Amino acid sequence: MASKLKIKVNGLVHSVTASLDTPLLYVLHNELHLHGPRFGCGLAQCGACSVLLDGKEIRSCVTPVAAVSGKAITTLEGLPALWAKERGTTASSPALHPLQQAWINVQVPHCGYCQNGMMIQAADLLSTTKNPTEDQIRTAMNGHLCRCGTYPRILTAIKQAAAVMAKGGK
Amino acid sequence: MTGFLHEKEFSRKSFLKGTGGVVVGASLASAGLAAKANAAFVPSPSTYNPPTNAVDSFLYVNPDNTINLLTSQVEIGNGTPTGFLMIAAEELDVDFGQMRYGSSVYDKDGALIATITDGWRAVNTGGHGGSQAIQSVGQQVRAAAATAKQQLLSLASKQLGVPVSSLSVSKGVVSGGGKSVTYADLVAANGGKIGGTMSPTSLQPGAGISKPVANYAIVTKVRLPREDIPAKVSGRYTYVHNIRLPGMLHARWVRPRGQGPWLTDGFATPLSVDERSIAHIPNVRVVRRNNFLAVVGPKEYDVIQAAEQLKVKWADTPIMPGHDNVWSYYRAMDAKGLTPARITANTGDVEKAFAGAAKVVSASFAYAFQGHTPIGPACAVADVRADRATVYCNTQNVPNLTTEMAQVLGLPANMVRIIWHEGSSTFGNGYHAFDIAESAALISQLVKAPVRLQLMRWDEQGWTRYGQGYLTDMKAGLDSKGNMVAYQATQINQPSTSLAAARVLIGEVPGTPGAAGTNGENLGPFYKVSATNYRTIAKTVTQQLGMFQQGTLRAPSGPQTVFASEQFIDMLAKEANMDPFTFRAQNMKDEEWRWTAVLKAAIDASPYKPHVPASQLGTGDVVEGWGLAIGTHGASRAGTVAHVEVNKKTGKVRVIHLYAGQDSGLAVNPGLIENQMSGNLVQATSKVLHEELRFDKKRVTSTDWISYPILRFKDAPAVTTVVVQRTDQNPTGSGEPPLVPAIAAIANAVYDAIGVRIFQAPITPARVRGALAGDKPGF
Repeated sequence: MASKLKIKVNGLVHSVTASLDTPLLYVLHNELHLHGPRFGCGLAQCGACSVLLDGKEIRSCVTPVAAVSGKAITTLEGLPALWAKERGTTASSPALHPLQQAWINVQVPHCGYCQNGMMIQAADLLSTTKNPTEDQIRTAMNGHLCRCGTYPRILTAIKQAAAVMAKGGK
Repeated sequence: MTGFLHEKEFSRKSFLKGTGGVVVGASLASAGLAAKANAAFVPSPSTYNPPTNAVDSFLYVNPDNTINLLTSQVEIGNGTPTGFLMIAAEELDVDFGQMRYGSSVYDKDGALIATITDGWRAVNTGGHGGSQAIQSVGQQVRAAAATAKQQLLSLASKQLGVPVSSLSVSKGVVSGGGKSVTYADLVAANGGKIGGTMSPTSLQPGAGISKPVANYAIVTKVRLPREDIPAKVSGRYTYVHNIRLPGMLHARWVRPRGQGPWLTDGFATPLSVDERSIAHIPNVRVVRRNNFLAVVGPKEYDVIQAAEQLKVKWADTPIMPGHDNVWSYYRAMDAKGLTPARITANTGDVEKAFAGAAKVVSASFAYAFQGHTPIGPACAVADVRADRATVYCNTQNVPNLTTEMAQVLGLPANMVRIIWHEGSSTFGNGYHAFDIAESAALISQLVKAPVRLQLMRWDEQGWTRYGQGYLTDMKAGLDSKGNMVAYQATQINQPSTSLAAARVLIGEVPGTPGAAGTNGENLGPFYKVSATNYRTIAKTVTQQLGMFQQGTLRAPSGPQTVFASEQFIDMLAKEANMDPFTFRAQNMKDEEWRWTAVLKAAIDASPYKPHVPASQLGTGDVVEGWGLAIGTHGASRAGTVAHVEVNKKTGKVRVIHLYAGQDSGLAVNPGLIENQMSGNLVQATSKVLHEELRFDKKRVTSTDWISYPILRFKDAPAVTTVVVQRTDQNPTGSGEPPLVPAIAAIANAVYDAIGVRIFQAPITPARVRGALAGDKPGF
């Protein structure tokens, strides 16, 4: 049974019509046309669909849309604004989050399909652990799968972004 | 709203406001994308399949002096378009930033937001695969661009009244005699054409009219970032999964969870379908053509629920051997004379050479069936009308899919427009990208509406074509000085299946599969023994004997083969009491010195110390080892050093570091090649340690990431890559080579660590524990 719902995504409140058990992913993709979160497994096994819910990484493919009401969702598209907020410079939102910039610098993606979840999970990690060790990075990222073999470049990019963020983005 | 391609490209009037949704008009989605990239070019049935020797088929100069390069190659994460644009920019003397690939869409700042190869515009340069893009199609690109440059100079000479010899070009502006003119203006004055015929149609670097390599300013001089990456990391990139058409229905394919035996009722025959079982889900319906069954509806999640809940009774044909019995099954088939043998190479007198050898060594190796398993399940969007069809998909072969689709739908080829958008990674033409496109089109034809079909995880995993399982018997003779004097390899496997699953299910009958082959490129053709006493034999387990769909997987049959052939070389080195690099170098043909050099390059980049394999065993539960191997797919050469750690108690192998050298001749954009190598090395680690297709008697049972595990982040190796730049050699492929030797280098390192050989891939903890406990391989 379809219901009218309000969800807050990347700082904006959207009214959507969906049955309460519809996984958040389908609302983000089909109703809000966000391309960041992607369908990978529908089983919370791979992490391609990850978004931040009040700053913590969740799997949008198994999270019912009803469960996110009243909470703030940040997708890949919303990372630059999140970074601006963290720095207290909301007036001029940067084009990219330091993680996204590091992903370009290191040329991380192959096909890129999984990279949404990788950056979302890394953003979650760096919000609590400013200067993670390699072991901490590997542990935090272990629930995200990549088929093309980009793990080593992701590791490099996260270290690079952490260093940039520690200096306030300079 | 960000990241929605069509919104960026077209006025708001183009969008239909639905339930909070935004949908692009169909005519814009199809014609408009290309129209933006080139205002003057309108794809149509008459622009399909342009001549392959005409400059204007390859290059299109836009009014703003940007230039579109057209081929039928695609972006599958290899960065091929970036490489092509570098080659073209080099010959044309334009900046890289002036080049545009295919029918791709760029935003107002020139940033790529969708890579597109449009079947109504692309010249047929063949399918994308076999690491052939830069190596072969790159030569066509070079010929087209070099011919175009000549043509444009000739036009400029006439227009400026200055001899060609007095003209120079920079950024696509021709100058001479104090005057200048842009390529765009020259083309406009020439009726919109560059003109000219490529003769020859392919040019290697520096050949014929192409620019001398010594004058290169781009190809070997700069390391350009890939064009597609900024949009991919910001969420702005349009994958095929993101395409939306007005009136579009979502579809899910209904079939058993995991394919049954090919060419039997058990493959996917619905015995009964209870449509009442989904009556409670609004607006969904079942569509069916013979055994091809799907559910469609306007809301994606409703369709997923309906496909999940539809009650179907499937036929069973329980004749498959099951993954644990596959090798005994191969042997049993062989014993019954059901594996016709072909001798694929036979040099000298192998039997006599074995009889005269100082030592004869033999061993058998088994390598599991493995899958493509992209992270994103396959997706295609099709709009099939009575007289034409438009299909958005990520096939690796746009030209062949066009003609095949035309047959399937009963349309002329030029009325089928394949619009390629990137999907999740594909690693070979054996992937079911034809299947997804044809299935979406068949459903669209049945429901007379545009259809978006996406697979679920279980049918992505359980219904692809798998890389074949191989059983390889190796035998070699050595003389007293460590020289191979006789060599024989016998490979037992199965041929590829040719017809897409959907076409089988609608009732088409596939042709008889061909014979399986041997992987000659990795069965030691570079060693001296291949010219003296050398025999390879292929035994084919025919498809009718109860297996599933099979096809080419990245570096087809390379991993299966080197797991045997290059582990076997390591065994021979041990037998000869030699370091395995020294053994390879001694046995290498003189003219194959590039193989020795590429392995040396990897060794030099690593802390590897020469030693006889397993001659320095560590003590304790956790031990380390080093392994070497060479191998390839195609004309490039790769050598790998693996450093591993093995926990003898748990049997777990961890790859600490992989070092690879690759010689692909003249390296176009070496940074990109390094990334290709790195991905290959990590994927090899996954394949050789983790990946094994599971199946029982009835069906494939690997249907998710638990039942088909791949390498995870914690276990990812460090990688070091060395591109051996050889500017005096033609460029050769880079998408696949180091995957192959890394498989064997890791296996050899495991042996070096524990002193016991693992003959079966993947090298799982249970197999390591078993081997340490003295278990013998059961094949």
